[in-house]
Amino acid sequence: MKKVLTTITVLLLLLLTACGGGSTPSGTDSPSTTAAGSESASTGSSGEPVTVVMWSSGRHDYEIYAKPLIDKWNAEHSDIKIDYQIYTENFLQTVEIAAQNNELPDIIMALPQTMVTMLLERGEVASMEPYLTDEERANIDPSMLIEGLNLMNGEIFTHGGGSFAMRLVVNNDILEECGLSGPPKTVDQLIEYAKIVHEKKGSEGVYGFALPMNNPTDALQRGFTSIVTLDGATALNGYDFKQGKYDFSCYKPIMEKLRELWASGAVFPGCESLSIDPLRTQFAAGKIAMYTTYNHSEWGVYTAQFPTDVHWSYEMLPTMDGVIEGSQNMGGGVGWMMLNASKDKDATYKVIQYFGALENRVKFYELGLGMTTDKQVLENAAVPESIGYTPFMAFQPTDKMWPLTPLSMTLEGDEYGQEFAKYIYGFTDDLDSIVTICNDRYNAAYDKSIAEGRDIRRQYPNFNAADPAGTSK
Amino acid sequence: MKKKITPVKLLINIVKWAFLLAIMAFTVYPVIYAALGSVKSNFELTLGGGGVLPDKWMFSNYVTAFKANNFGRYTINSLILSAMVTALALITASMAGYVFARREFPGKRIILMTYTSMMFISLGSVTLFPLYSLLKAIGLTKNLFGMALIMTGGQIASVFLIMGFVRSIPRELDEAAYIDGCSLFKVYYMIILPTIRPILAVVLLFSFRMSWNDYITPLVMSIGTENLRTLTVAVVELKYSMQAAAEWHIMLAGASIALIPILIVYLFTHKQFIAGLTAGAVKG
Amino acid sequence: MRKKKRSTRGLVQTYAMLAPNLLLFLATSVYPILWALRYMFVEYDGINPAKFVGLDNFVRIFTRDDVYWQAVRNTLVFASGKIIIVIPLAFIVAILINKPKRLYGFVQAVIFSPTIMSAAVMALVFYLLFNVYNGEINRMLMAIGLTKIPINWLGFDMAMVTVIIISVWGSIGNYMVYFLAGLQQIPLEMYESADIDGASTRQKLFRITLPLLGPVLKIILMLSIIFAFMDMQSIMVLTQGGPFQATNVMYLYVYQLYYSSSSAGGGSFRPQYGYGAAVSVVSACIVGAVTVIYLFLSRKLDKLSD
Repeated sequence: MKKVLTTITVLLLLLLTACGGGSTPSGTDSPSTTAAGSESASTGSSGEPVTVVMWSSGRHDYEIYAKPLIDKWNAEHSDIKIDYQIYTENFLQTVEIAAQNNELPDIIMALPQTMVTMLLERGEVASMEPYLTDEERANIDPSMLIEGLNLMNGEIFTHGGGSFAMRLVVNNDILEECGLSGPPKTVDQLIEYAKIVHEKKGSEGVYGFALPMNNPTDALQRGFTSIVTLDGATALNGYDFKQGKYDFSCYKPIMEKLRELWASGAVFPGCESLSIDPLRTQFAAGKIAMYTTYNHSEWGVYTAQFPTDVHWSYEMLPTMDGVIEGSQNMGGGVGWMMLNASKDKDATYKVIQYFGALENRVKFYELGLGMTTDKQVLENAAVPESIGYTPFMAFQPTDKMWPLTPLSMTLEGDEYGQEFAKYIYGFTDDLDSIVTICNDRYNAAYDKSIAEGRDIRRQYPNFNAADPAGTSK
Repeated sequence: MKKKITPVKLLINIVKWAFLLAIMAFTVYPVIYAALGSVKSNFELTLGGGGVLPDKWMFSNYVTAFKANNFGRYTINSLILSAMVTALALITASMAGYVFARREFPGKRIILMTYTSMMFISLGSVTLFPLYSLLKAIGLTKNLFGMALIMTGGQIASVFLIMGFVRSIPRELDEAAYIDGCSLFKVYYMIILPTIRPILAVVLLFSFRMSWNDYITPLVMSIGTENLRTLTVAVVELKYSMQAAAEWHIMLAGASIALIPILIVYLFTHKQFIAGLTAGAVKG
Repeated sequence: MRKKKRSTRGLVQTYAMLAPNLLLFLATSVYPILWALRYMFVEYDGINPAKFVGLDNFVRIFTRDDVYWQAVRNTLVFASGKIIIVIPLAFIVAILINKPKRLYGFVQAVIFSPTIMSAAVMALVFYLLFNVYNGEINRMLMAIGLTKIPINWLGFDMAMVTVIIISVWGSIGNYMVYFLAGLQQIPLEMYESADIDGASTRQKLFRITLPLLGPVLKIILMLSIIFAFMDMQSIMVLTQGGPFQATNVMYLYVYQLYYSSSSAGGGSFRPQYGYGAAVSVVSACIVGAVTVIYLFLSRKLDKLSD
């Protein structure tokens, strides 16, 4: 009996020691099986350095921006080390699960907004008020401060960083070869262009337009949602700030156009299952004339990671009638947030300050990794090569901060993108009933989260898409 | 009596081999495509077309995979995890299988019944959620050992395989030693283990295959602990690669790295693999 | 006295040797089921405290959740499609190579090889092969003139066919070996005496092989049903259940309720742990029901043929 137990114990111990073995302060490069990684900052008793763990959902800036920055810091500092971890596809779940199990890092990127809302709701976010310097405070643009986005109960919890808006990406070589001059100004023109490209160059495998419909909601948010608001709709992602409830009817005109585009055959084949990455590789190979997306990734992609000879540019999104009556929501302030999980907030804030230092913000901007409204940066930075190459990468007056839509609800059923896709693909002709289904589904979820005290009704009776911040106070 | 080759027989043979070759081509083609694609340039891959062989042999893809994408660590993770799962499976299942085959004890019937019924009940990935909380409670979410425990699990099929094998051994062999005063564990260790080696080889191969290839369990279990990722998880993650544009060449290099060890194991042991499945099928 | 002591000692030893396996079994198989049986009555998103909702999760499954029932239909299509293709193919291969020849051993080793590979990793490779814009499959089909325009393998109409093809690829080796195991249990003497009686190959197949293979075939079919219902790794990587839920299967849907964010931008995803538990329990019941129906039918057939 004794022998049995001893043997089992010995075996278990062997296994445990084989995979245990203390923490690894050296960061992500040592092939250790113990994850010191997501332990939040803690000072070792014997003067070991503090490790500040950062989680990022951004992937487009790592090689050329974040990595050199971190390497530099870790080489210069012996007391505080940065452990920078990137989670791409599963970022939201990663954070959810980490939060449930008290395994959150010290610093986290404030994107996507769903995650920020979740962390705020759980009370995981630390206020930056006690740490802000006067200089930092002076540089914060009050018009950019929005409750839930960077303020919690009036206290700042994130600042700085780049922002982004939606643009049309155009392969100018293809348009030129097809005798088309200038980017399309209206949606009809866009369809026209796509058809012409397909007519003239379809035999070479070139298509007029592409959409990453692998995730239809995401695909629509990469441009068509913004077209709706540029046309003056008071609803963002279906949420109408004026009415204080979901109303998807403003999507009807653009859906009719998308259906027309789809039926024309000028859309890149396989778009139903296409995600943005393969779409970009095909664009770089000169197979796609136009697509819509965020304005912060393409420069990095097509210069450093996926060099292409294609002469591409960002252009303004077309609108239904060619006139901009509203504005588009600017994804705001991709900054860093400090979490309460951090055991050494002073050290943690030093790292945030390092990333937020003017010199580094300028570098971020000059590398063409994001657009900025930051006055300090604009004054100190040279015009980035990227903006020289494609001017519409820069901030435009129609890029505005919109209030937050409800985010803490549990939807029963598909998202609106899936529903509208049925119409776009021609599976159903009944657009009205899709709008009704979406309205009912989203409003039921929203009403429920209000009833449960998780959200408030966000209604601004005077809301105007041309001045979203001013009319939502 | 030598059979004559008639035209009909020849035709049947041709049809038969055409069929077998078609199935064989179907099975190996994706693997060959992955292996050759892993030494093509990303440009050649994304453009498509081209020859079967690469225009330019880019062995540097592997270097990139190991250097820039941290594949060294993921490979080591996968190896350690598979080794632990295999060891745990062998030890726990063989002891349990032996005890079930040879001993009578209160509760045996109900335990065996529960084992059998659990073979047919699956809740899918739901189980990973409470299991993760369980690991958290005993502080095992930060290392591969916790993941290995979950992936080892009850080893129901292995237990039944071993139980069946032990039953086929003559009782006298171990009974005598036990009556002579040897402890149960000593009998197991000295007599049973050496005898049941063939079936242990099967359990070894199957638990290694399962732990090396599984994707969902390590994916969920390494959520939040990036450096516990296994090779499979890391390779699939390349689909959403760090750079915003998909890097197919690195993806295929990663896929090849994930396939090679198990292929080597298979090359030397395919007879046991097949014997294992055979044993499983017969026992149901 | 001595004997009694001895048997207690034996009992302790018995339980001690059983314990490691039993504990792992209880922890990984039984405990999660108990957990799910509790949480299926609860609404829980991981942030707000779990809330008891009675049978509401089940009301939602049976009255309001079209996506789930589409996934159930898909699972049935996927499972039957896979079984209808893979079982006959594997059977034919097994019949053809059921002789102890070196060459056949090689054929067997090659056809079995996909089963040792990671379905998730291979799904990536299959994406490159099947994608419509530059996939090799289309290129080959067009080169030999089987189709003029590229087939949209991952589109709405074909995606299910594609995932079935891939699952056939991954499992044909397994079933081939199961059948070989069954075939090898048929005594050689039966064939020898049939040869003496001058039976033709076809007669041997229908009079000896098929009837004697019956019991094994039943087990193989049952295994194939259970496995096909749970198969989801390659679908998860290749199509994520899309486009349009066209390839979403029951257990993938469960996974999505737990771990998948559908929208990276401004979506409204929240994990639904309670609802997901209810869905998984219903799914397990569906698999159980199908298995029971199958067992019942196969027993009926046995009686008929007797």
